[in-house]
Amino acid sequence: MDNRKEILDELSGLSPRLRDLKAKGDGLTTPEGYFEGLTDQVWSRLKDSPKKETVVRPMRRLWRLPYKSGIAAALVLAAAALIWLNRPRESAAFDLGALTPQEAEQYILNNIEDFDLSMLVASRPEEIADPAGAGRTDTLDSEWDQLLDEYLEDVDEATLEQILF
Amino acid sequence: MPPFKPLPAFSVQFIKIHCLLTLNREISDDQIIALLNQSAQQEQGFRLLMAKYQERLYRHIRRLVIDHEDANDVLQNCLIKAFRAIDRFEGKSGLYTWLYRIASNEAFTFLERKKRKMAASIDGEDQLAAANRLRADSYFNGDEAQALLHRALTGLPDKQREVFTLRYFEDMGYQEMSDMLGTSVGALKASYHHAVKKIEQFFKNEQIR
Repeated sequence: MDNRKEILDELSGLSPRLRDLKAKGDGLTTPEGYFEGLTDQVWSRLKDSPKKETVVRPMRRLWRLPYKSGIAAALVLAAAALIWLNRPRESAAFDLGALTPQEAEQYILNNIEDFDLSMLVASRPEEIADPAGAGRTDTLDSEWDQLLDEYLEDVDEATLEQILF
Repeated sequence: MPPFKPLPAFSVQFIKIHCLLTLNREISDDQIIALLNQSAQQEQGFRLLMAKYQERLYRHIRRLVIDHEDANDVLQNCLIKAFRAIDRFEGKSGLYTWLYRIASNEAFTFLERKKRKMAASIDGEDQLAAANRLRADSYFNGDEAQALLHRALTGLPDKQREVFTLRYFEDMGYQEMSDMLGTSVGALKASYHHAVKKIEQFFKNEQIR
């Protein structure tokens, strides 16, 4: 009982109250004959449910390893898909801004059939941002108007109605 | 004279175990493990294991969960788990250490589940619930100071509670505790001292009230 003496000495310094209380024990009791019947009780439980819980443990491991790996792989794929879908693309406005007036004109002439009127208008952000056109000196204005006139001449009435209404 | 009738196998086993125990012959852990690992001898091994450790394990669990019925449930689950996992016992630690770890895990898991169920995560509420449980438990014959000590213990973090219980109630030395819990002696001393200080403070606060 060296430990006991050492513990009591230790408690004398730390908490004399706990040292004195130690002699009383924990005050916890058990029902009479509890331990005599316990072995049979547990053994009958073991016989009634053979290896039930050991089946559960591998399932937990299954959940922990491949399932977690699967979820991790799915998350990586989802993140990759999101990044791919949101990848930066060259916008029409950027292309036009980088082009010289001659290049822009050539580009529009070559691809005019792929554009409709709304796209032509939308590709002029200055007009949308500043519809009044105050103080603007755009060198492309005359060429632009010319292209628009040409387009309007070529377009049939039905298409024009569809665009306007 | 009636013909000699051989005793049933179970009775023979029972007598053997009884003789071993009454003669106070020390049954080694190796013997118990060897029996548990042979399917024909498992019951004998299990009965020996129970005879040797059931009371010690119960006391440990009971001090953690307090209520007798709870302790009984936790102990039975612990023993069933230990029996089913005995083939995985590698003998790196002693048999009791291994059983003790299973018992502690079971007890703390049980307490955590119970806490969640009662939605009483605040320490004060835990302590109050513990006090009520203790009052309702007919298997507690301690006085007010002992009840107060159990209330104080429920407010401690798991580690401190475990260390305090081992040293204060089971008179365990720091080195033995270190081997059992896999924690350094220094850390155990610090945990124990913190626990004692907190309990002392709890007593002071309760006296003021």
